Amino acid sequence: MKSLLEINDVSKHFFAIKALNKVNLDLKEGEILGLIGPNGSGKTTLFNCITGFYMPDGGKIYFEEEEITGLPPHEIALKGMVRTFQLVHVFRKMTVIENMIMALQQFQDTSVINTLFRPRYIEKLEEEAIEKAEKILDFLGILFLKDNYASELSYGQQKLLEIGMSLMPSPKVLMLDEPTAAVNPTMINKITQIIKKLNSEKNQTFFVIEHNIDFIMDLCNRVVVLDHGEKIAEGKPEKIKEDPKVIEAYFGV
Amino acid sequence: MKRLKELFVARGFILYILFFIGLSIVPVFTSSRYILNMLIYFGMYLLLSMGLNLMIGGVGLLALCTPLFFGVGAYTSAILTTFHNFPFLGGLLLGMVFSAVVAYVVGILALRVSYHAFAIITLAFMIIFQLVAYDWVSLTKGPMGIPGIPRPSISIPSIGTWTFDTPTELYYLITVLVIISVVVFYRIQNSRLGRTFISIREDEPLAEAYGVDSKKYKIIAFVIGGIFGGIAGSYYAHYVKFVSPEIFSMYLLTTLLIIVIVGGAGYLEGVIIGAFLFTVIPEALRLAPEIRDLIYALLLIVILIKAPEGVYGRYKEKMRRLVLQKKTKEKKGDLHEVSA
Repeated sequence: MKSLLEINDVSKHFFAIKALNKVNLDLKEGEILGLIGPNGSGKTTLFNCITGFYMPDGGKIYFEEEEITGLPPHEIALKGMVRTFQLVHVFRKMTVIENMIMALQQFQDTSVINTLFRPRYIEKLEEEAIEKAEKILDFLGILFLKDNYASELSYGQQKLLEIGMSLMPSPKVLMLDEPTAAVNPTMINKITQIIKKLNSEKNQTFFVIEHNIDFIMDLCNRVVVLDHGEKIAEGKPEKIKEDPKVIEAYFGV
Repeated sequence: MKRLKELFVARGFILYILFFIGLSIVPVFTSSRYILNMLIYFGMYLLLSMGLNLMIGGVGLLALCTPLFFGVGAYTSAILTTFHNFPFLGGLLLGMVFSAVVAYVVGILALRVSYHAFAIITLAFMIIFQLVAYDWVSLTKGPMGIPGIPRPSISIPSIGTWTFDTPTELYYLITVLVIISVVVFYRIQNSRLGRTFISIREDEPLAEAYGVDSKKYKIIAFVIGGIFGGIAGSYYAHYVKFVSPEIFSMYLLTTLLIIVIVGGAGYLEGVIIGAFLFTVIPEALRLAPEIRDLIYALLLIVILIKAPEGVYGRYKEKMRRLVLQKKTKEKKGDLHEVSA
């Protein structure tokens, strides 16, 4: 399998705190990679370094064999790596369908000139986007909310919308930061099924941060464990579960 | 023609056409200097607040420097037409260019910081430009200002020269500028560019995660806002025939902020309503000069308590809810039919 994302010796510190210390990782095409670790172990920091929201202090990141270390977030996104956020992020004062179109439109065309002076061409892109958006919303079961503001949705629905948005650009890598945080069990099942379905049908690559161990066990092909900014274990989920280092990190025994 | 129709997605544009016609026929009914003067100020306020609205309501930047662009436009036109015999249109065009350049530079520098610091820095730039206008006497004539700016005139070779001298002519000139600017603003608001602006206002990190170069779009909004300001400034110089450093005024800034926020930040209709209210109400209140400021302030307080999202924002929200309710009712109706 081809390696999509390669992380070599990435470090990041905030003043004296080492949030990440020479982390190495690689993400292969078509796999679901889990990233777990206790609170403050650097999972989200790693996500932020990969997607350009933080500048790593050391190390290199390659996406499809091309170095992306230190590129701004929008450029990394446009290369085909889309992330969600730990706390739900949606465009609150935009309707659900507009949220979905917004998630795609920069991937279709970034030119400001086209936006203003080629209405017919833009109209075509817009129709494509709406069609795709409705399909995805239907798949997620929130199509009936399409004309509501995102702020009027329940938390779980916003979470689904966020996942829907991340599917709009058909990214090569989908990075989900705690997709099940504060979501009820039924919704968690739904999210699990969606991820599995996309992975098996479209060979979609996922990189998932999660605290919910059942979710990780159920879903991931491979798991990486971080503790105090260092990678302490990597492997199949069943093995990770029994790794003494991991147990120590989580329970402090 | 079809292309033209597509450019202005018919949706809702008809109201603007009525607004334009309304503006154009005012002089048929009155040639009162007083009323036309009031409407000319309405036009200038509208241009300026549209620019500010792009920043506050568009990309969500509290930019406190619209009078800066206004002043740059005014001084450019004043200096070029009074001392260098530039034609009106040349001054207007260069006024737009200079305020765009100033907006670009101020934008690049101020956008290095965010939120409150950004607001303060833009305000600081306005004050710096005011000081320059006071002290660079050889260029700006300092605190005395530049008097005797000629009336705008457009000369086309082999057709003739057309000078805008009477209030009616001057009124038509600003009306043309307003119509063009409103069309441009409408076009931006209802395009993908407008949606991108709003996405930055709503959630900047999220927008960036979906490929929006937020800094670039903020600067685009800033520069377009600057150009609107420059147009208003250039017109102002020719209308009042006098420009002084007082033009970079805090009073103008607060008025514009009130127009945008009370009207409804983020909506073109909002600034039109806001600009109209805040040119007409103070005039209407002249009837009761003793309590004028009191009524004005009370009105502001009431509006901000009752409709913090602005007059138009409030209306729009209500309409949206109504439409949504109607839709869900229809859906329920369908279900009943199916089950019956």
